[in-house]
Amino acid sequence: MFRHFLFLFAAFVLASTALAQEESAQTRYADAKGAFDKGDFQGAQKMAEKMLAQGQLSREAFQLLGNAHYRLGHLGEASLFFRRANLFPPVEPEVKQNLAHIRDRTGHVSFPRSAFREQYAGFLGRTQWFITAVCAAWVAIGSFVLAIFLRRHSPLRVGLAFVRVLAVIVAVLAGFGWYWRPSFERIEKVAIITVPDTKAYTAATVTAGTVSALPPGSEIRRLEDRGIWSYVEIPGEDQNRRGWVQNAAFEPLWPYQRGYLE
Amino acid sequence: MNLKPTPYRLPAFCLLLAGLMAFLATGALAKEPKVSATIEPDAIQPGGFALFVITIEEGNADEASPLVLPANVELAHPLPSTGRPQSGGRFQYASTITWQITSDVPGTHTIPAQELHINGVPFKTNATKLVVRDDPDAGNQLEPLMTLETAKRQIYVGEVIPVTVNLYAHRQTFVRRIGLIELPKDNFAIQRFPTQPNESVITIGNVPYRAYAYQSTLSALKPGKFKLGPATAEVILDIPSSAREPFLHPLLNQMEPRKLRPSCNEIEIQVTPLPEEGRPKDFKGVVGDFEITMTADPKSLNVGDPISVDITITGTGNFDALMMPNMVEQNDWKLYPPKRYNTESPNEPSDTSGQHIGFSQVIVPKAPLKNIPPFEFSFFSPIKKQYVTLRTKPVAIQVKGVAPSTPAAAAASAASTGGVPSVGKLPDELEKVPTVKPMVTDILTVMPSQASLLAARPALWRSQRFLVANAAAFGLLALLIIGKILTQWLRERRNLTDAATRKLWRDLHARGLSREQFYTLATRYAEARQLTGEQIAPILEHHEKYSFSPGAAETGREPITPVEKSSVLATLRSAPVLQA
Repeated sequence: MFRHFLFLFAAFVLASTALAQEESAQTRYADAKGAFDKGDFQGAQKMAEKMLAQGQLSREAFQLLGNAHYRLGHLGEASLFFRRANLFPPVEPEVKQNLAHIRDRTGHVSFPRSAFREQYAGFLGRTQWFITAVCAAWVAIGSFVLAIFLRRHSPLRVGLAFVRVLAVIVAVLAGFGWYWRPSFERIEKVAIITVPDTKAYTAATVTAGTVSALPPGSEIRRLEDRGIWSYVEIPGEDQNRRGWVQNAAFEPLWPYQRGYLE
Repeated sequence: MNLKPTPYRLPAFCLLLAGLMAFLATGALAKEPKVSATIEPDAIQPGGFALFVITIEEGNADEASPLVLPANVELAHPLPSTGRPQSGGRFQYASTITWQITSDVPGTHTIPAQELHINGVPFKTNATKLVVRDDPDAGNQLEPLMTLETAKRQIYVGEVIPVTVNLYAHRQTFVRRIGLIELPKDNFAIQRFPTQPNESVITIGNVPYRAYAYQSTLSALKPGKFKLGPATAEVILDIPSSAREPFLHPLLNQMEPRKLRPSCNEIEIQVTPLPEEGRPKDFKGVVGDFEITMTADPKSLNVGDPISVDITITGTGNFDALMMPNMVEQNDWKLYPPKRYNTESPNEPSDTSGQHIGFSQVIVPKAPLKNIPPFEFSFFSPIKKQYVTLRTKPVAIQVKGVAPSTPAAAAASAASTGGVPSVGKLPDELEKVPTVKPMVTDILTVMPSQASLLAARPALWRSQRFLVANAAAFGLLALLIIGKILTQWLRERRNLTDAATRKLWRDLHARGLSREQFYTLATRYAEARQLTGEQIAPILEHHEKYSFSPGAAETGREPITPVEKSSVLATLRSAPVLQA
């Protein structure tokens, strides 16, 4: 009896803590949005950053930070936060348009990606895609097993065959959605240039030859870290290039826990 | 020098030592901690702030105890601040714990003695009193004032007029922050107020004020009588907490931070609709007073060469509604889409004295011409209270060459003379109109009103529960399938032709069979398998004997012995099958 009471009490405490955290996050977001609407972009940025620092991550906070950084003239950071917001479904047209606008302004470079795949996979999160695929697979297996137990000339068998085919198609489509959604492993090494006038060099020194200019918002992939320099892969039109970039010039695309991307 | 010890030196030294120890002991005793509480200032206005300070001399509190406050007094900030008081530029061996408290209820509030522990020993402060005094005269005198002013009280729909919000702060107060000035926008389009005001010093009724003027513009959206205002803004300022000495210099007086929303006046504005009478056909809602000038370059050219025409419009009014003026005679010209640009804009949005706007357009003469026709546009002038159509002066040019005589040009010319010419669209170029390309110049700031928190969760396929549940479901399905296959196999086996024979063979192995039963079964088995040979005959005979001979009925009911049974079974197993 006492155990049951203890369990119920613990569940209540956990639920109320989660509720309070959600409420506090909503209040903070509302305050930050209010500050942005009133033109206090720095205040909005600080409030949203505080949310993130306390583990209250949200797509809307990323979007707000992108907007605030843009208004403050930090185009690299704005691009970074819009990209972070873009990692979560549903894909917001505003975020996509803002990213495109920043690209037009800075001319930053990005790794090639299929717009169709991005759009399609952006409908659901990775876990949602995975659950859909697994459920569809079980429906296919279940209908197959059920058909085994039915009489050979049962009319239900035709219906089950239709369900089976449909479930297999859904499972395959959901599998593609899951595979195309950005995973932590895929973006772990991706970073965004945030400092203006950044260049990639042929060696880890600014006196070396240059590889490419990297406007704010450019995407790079870290291959190796060496002190204050990183050896990176830079997207190119015909082929990717490689060079050395100072660590202070970029921010990782996803510095948070991998679990948020699931 | 005689260094020999004198007889009284030792007792004197002992006396000195004892005195020193006594002094130290007294000093040690004097180091017992002392705790006191004060309120600074002890009298505030309702909603004002005061500091409740606990000073601990010769010690530190073990931990910050929660402050016990009477009803109607509350903490302005939940957490206290700690520090060390200074005296004459030197830190004392004392510490302070400070809370910011506030109260809205006038009266004297007694804050009880607070208990705190120093090195595990409980100590109590003295009780203190906070006086909340509602002194309307003192408050009103020092509180800021806000006024709303417009240049006119009677305006036309669409007319742009300056609007000013003035905030007057008493010189004895110190303005920390002025929030965004806001005006209700129910019936007016109001340009956003700037964040930086124009500051000046004025005297109202012998009282010195710092004036902060925020200037903007407004225009009415619809006709009628509407109230404008009141303007609102959140102002945080330091007010002298002592009303008795309001004219002391702020540095010498105790200041108290206050958050206020100053009251503001309203203005009734009569909005008149634009008259229908005399409204030009090309009127596009422009209200104001403008002037127009035009330049063109080059002035000497050939037929088909482009001319750049620049038109500048100066004046006051709703410039946002202004569009490129139309060329009066367009028949002999090919016109390209115009571009709008701002030439000079005043820094203040309300400064409508010298606004300029420019349009540039490329025009191409299609025939030898002597001047560029005038461009004109119409607007409503609130000063003249009538519609005005402004027209540029014709610009003299020299166009050499001959008019094109190609069929397309002739058709274009015919079309132009016959009907209304279309800007930049000659018949032979209708299909060449480029598609409009998006030109995004800013980000979209539409954001959801609520944030959905993200949760970090492990990948599902790495979750043990998920794997176990799926494995269990899979195992269950596998069992079902195996069961189904087994059942099928057994059924098929049962339906085989030798199924009856196999059953007979199993029955032969049953226990407790009588001789009669056993030999009956053995005979049936031999028949079913069509066994032949000499060794089968005794079995048939025994069957005849025990089943049909009355003398052997008794023996037939006796159970068959294991030796006899195994002998018969061995015979049946080894007997040859009759060949067809």
